Amino acid sequence: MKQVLLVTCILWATLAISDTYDSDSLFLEANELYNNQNYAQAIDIYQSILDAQLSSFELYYNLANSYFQFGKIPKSILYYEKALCLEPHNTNCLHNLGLAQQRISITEPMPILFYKKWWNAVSSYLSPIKWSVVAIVSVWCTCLLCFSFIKNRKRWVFSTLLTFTFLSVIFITILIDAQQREKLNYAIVMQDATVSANDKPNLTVTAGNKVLVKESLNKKSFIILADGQSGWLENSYFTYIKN
Amino acid sequence: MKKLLIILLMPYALLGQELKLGVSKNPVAVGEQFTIEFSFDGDASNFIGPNLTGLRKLGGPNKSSSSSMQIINGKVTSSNTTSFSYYVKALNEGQITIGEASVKSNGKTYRSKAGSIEIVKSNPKSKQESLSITDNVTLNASVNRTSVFQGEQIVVTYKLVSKINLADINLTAVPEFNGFWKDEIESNSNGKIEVINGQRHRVWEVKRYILTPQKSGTLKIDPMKIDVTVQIQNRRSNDPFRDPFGFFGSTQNVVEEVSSRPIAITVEDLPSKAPENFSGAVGQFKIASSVDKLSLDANQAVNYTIVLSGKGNLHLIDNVPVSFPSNFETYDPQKKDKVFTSKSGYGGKVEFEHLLVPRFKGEYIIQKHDFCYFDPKAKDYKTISTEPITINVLKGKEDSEAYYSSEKLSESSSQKLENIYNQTKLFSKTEKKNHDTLVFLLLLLPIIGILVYLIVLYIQARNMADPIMGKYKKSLKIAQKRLKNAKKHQENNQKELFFEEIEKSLWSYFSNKFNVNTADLSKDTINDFFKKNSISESVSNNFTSIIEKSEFCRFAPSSLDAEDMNRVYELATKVIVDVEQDLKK
Repeated sequence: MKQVLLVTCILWATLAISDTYDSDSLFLEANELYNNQNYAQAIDIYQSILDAQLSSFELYYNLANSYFQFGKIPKSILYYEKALCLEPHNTNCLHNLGLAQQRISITEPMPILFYKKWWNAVSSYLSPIKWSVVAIVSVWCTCLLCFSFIKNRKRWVFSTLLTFTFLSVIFITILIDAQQREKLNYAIVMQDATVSANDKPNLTVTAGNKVLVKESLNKKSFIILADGQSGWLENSYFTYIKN
Repeated sequence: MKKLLIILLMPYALLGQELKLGVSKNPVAVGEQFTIEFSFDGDASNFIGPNLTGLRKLGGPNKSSSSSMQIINGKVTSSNTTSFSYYVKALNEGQITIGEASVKSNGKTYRSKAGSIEIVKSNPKSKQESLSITDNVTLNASVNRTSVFQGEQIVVTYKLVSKINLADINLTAVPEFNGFWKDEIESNSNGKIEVINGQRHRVWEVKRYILTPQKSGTLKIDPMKIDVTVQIQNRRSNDPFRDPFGFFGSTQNVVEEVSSRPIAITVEDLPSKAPENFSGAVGQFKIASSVDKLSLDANQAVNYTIVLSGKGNLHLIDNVPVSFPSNFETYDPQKKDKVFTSKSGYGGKVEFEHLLVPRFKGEYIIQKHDFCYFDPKAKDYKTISTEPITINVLKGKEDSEAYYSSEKLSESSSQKLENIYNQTKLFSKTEKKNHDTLVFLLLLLPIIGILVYLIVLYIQARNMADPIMGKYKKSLKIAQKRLKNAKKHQENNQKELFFEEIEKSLWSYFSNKFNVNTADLSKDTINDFFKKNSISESVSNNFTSIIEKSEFCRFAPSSLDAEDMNRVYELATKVIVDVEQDLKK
């Protein structure tokens, strides 16, 4: 009787975890194929894991590497960017993305003003969710200090209160900025295309370039290129990095 | 009979009109020039010339006509002769047939008879003439080598060597140089005097070409032909009328053709195992690179020059393949040709000047550039390369980070792809939860708390700031508080304290309500203030009567029992309520 119970227990447990367990073994199998330079099959298997609604930084990264080795540079750039959404500061991924971008003709990005660059560096230092935690903590601290200052007016309380107020304002601004940045829809152009712009008749964008999708209609989207030029592009030419 | 004679003679008269062939000389010697003349009695036109094979036509046909008149015993006879003449030169020994020629006269066609000329070996006298040209004048074609590799150069020099003075030279046939890329070098046309075999020779360099074979195999260089004009003293002429005083040049121009020998060149194919970057350079080369400055600010220009020097087909080298750091702005190179031609072919140097503009700060290495060429001496491909150059860009923007600086990364680490990860933790790709509202609430909550607290404090502070109003509002509360205390005393049966509290509650209520000093408290003031505030008289009487009663009871507590206390308490509360109601009216 006990044995039967044990067996059923084990069976049940395996069934419950079989889904992820299968995918893990698939991941390892695909890695094996990659190491044997069988990139096409590795891509198929990585994709099947993605199709099962599973994801991870390493999965995107490995898939991107496979596409790179297979010679599909725009696809590899897409998956490196997807991987970077999960781990924005991974050096391996940044390095490989740089290599991939060397293989295609990248539109020269517009030069960014120095203060904007600092601001971007600060606001992308933490993820928006972390920034919101920081902002909340700082705001609560400010309010508590405010209470204590009202109760008994001490000089040090006042100075810390001022600092915290200042910090809170900065953190909230960063949080708002980071959240808006998170909402920007970036896409990778998958094949060379001509962008129809009003001011420039022949604006072409090559596959692999990152574009910002500002407005999306049924068939066409308004995109902004890295160099600031903009125009309408058919939806079939690009793929969103998120989702 | 006479008539018969005339008839018999008629054909002769008719026969007299014919196209006669005449030559100025027969036999003639080889190389001798002579005249062929067709003469006709009478006017003639439409001359069709003969076939002159074996002879070289120097001039003609020239038409000339002459007429003569004779008067014999008063009889005038006139004759008219037309002649067509050629000036020709005999070429080869043997019998030569001069073909038929024809003319038209008075609608009739006359044909000449074919004639033959014998051409003999030049006799000693004319041999001297002939010798003077073919033997004394030679055209030498010389090449510096006969076996070359494809792409290597050959120099062909044509020299005219002459023992005698030449009046004129005239190029008639320039070789085609099929299969070669030819480049003519200007040669000085002034003759030089050289001594060959102890004899003085005058040497002209007619032409010099640098030839680069374009295909392999045996290539033939066609002969070059030159017409040489020699002036010969015409001593044979004994005609006194020709030049009685020797003023009009007793010389004759003789034209002779000289030609060079054809030359065969063997062109070898380059070895098949050519490296990938081989671009067709053949020769011996050296390569060097330089920059005009080693450190500069961003967005300033720097010149990077590759100098290729040596011997070989330098002029055919269009560029040296280059690669620069990717965030350098590059422009098409400027090629500076300093190639000169020497006796052995091309030499000199070619400069490729690249204009570079670094855009970002940092230290950059211009990698070495390889140049591959074929060395025909070593019969092998050789690769030479420039030295890598480090350029320091001092001031300027850091590399932009929007697009990850591949340059920096690739300089520090290898260009190789980072390897894949072996392990992962997969998670479900569910929709991200939106924490925005929660975050918003958490941020707002303490702020709202602080605001509420501040409002409360503000209201308190305002009340403190206006004591009369505060007392007015508090009066009821204080009265009630005291009444509550009175109730406690009643329960403990402390009659004196009970009545004291009742009295105080009413007094304090009054003083607070109407802002009256405790010192001024009296029943009169109560009545006064109650009247002013239009409180009914019964209420004011009740108020004062309760105070009086409580005062009285305080000093005689024993006369009272519990019921009285109850009644007084109820009356006191009632009277306060009544005052409040009357005040509100």
